[in-house]
Amino acid sequence: MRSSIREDILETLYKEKVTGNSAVPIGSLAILLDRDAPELGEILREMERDGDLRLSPEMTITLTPRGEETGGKTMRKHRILECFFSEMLGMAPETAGKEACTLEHSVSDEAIERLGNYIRAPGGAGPRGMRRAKRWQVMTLIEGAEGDTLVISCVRCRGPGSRLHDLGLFPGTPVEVVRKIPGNGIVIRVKESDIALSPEIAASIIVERPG
Amino acid sequence: MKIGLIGNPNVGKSLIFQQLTGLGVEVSNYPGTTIDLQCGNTCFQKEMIEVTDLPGIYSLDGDSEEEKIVRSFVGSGKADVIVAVLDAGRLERNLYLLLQAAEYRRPMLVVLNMMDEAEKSGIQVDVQKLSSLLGVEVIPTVAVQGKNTCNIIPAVLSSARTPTVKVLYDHHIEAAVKSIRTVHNLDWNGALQALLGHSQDPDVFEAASALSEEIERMHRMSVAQIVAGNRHHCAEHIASEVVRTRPPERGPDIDRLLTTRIPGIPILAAILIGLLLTVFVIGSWLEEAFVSLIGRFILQPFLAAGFPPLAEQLGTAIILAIQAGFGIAFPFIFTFYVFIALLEDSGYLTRAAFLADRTLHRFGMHGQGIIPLVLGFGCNVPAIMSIKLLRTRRERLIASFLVTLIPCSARTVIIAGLVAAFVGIGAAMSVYLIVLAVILITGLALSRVTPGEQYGMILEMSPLRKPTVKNVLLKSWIRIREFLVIAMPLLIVASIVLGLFQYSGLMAAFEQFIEPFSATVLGLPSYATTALIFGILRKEMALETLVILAGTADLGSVLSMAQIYIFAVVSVLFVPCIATIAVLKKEIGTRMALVISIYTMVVGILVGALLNLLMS
Repeated sequence: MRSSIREDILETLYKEKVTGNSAVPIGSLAILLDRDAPELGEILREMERDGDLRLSPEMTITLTPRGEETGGKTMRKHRILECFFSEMLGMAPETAGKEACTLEHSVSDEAIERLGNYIRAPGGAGPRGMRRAKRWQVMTLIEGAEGDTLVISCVRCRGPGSRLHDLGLFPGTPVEVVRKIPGNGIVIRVKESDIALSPEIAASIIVERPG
Repeated sequence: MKIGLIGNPNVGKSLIFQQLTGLGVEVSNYPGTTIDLQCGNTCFQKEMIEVTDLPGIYSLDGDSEEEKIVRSFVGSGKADVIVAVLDAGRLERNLYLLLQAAEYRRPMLVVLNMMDEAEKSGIQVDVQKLSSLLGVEVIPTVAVQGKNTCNIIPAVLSSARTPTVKVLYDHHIEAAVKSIRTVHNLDWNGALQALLGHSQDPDVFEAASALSEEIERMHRMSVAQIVAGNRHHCAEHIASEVVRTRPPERGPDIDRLLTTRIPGIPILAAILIGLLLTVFVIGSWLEEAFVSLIGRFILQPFLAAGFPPLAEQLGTAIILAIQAGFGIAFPFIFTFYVFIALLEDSGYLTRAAFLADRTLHRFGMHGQGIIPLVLGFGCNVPAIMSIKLLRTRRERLIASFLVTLIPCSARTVIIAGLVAAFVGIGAAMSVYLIVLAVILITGLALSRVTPGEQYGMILEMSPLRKPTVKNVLLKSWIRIREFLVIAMPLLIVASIVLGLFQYSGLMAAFEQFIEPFSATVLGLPSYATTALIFGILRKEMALETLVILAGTADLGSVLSMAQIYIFAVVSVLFVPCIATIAVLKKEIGTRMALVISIYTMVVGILVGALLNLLMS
């Protein structure tokens, strides 16, 4: 419970900072978070000790780089979840926001990245998606170069798709590109065996670069 | 007692099968299907053990012919013990099939093969631990060297037991299986199979598909995908418990030479051309020796013995059939098989398939199609049998058409024995070019008109290995025997029919009937047309019949060069031999076999007529 309050504080401070308010008085923070100032003061001192923020003698709060990072991350989680709930699942924006507020503290970094990926998957690529595209590059296996290690994120092919599953090409499986002849096929190594694929099959396997 | 061998392709299953059963193998046909199951017997401590070699598969869930066969074999309980052969170097992938087989709750034994190769690539498997995790006995072997394979049968008899390993499935799957079981009287695996859509019972099928739709809606993934994912997870877990890896010993990367455009493709071309030339040189030399031996020691003494005319005619027909059959089978086809087995065992064939993928796409096939096409140069019968490995009917149809047009070794005999001998080497090469042109045009046209979807190639590349002489010869021997079983009886019957025709005078009547046609359209004497028609029985018989009917082996004295050339081209393109038609019928149905036969006949006559027009 404690950590979720701390994340809420950092998130709120981050939002304020983005809007140009880098030194927030405790009083206004208390109003934004809907909590009483004395209770907050105790938590804030604790957070100062951990190096997330600095309290000035005038009782205004400034974020440290560390605190800023956590705050930014939490805000991003909140936005992705909110977007998913309201735009994709059709919840009312208000309920979606509340739901996001509770979940943002427990969802893992990987889950949020994948959810973000899913939201901006073909057709849904908004300006936010474009900015992030570099980090989680969506590509097909045929675009891989010799020597690349890639992780399968989706096998789209119908028909022979089940054969690919049997050979171990599953979302999450790492594959290595062993040989590639442009215009011809590709040889990949999956679970210690080399498998040759025609270009059209390789083009239907979506992969990511790990990391 | 019956045991069945199950495993992924290319894990040394057939080799183990041969070592268990020796050479006493009979090829049997599985009822109602076209897949051959090899059965063999072995005796251990006075007990007769029947071993069945099942086709190599990656999964028991798919709907390819092989997968269906193995599924019904394992599910029927025909085998008392199922022996799963695993490749120690690819344990995780191999465990996937094992986990599926284990769900049938039959007594099992695991053979962990290729221990030496795994060791070389830095993989060590804890056999003891694997055995305890699976709950079955695990026997490590090196089948290529025959190491430890002798312990398989004793272990089957003494310690085969039902595996205890259990895949943890998604709770929705488990719940669905439970609910199927409460309504229908099925065991756990039966219910899972029903959920995967493999139930024959319409009631069960309906109930199961309602459940699987529900699961699919919830997960946005098909039941098959979820189940496969769970199994992979389990296999991964087991493998991570028992496999230790260290960096492999790195040798020179030969693969880099073989699977790049340069020099890979020139090497491929050189290997294929070299293969055909070598087989041809060795084959014709051996055949000559063989035919003259039979002529001197069997045919001449038989003719000299002075039997009554009918008996003499029939006896000669049988001896000629045997002479022709063995004359083609051993010198040409066997030599060819030896080279194919070399390419196969060394792992080169899969590399050839990879390289040929792009080219074969233009003909509506993919890389794996190179195997039937290359086999076709040896004999069309095994080549057609091998189209099974193509996955769609579309590819099989195209491959069947093209394979029947490929000049097999019997047709090579005609080209060499007629065109090369009487017209010249250049002319013989031009016959090949004509055939090649017909194949290319047919392929391009078929890839446009044949209905059906085209899937690409998904092919496991076998690792490069050094083939052993013994295994290569053994493999070739088993194949040539299969060929003889199919072709020899047809050949003898055909030869007897030919003999009777000649004896009864029907032949003369037929020649009179065909005379105007053959003279005007093809510019051939009527007996040459008869010879062409008998070539349907057995291709090289066209040449032999021609010699018999012309009454002289020096064909240059009775036929003009143009006539010899036309005869050769037509007989090479004309209707495939009767054995090929029989196999076509088995593999792709009567209707298509008929279509292919008619197509080749039309093409043969058209090309022949065209040549006649040009040359006269």
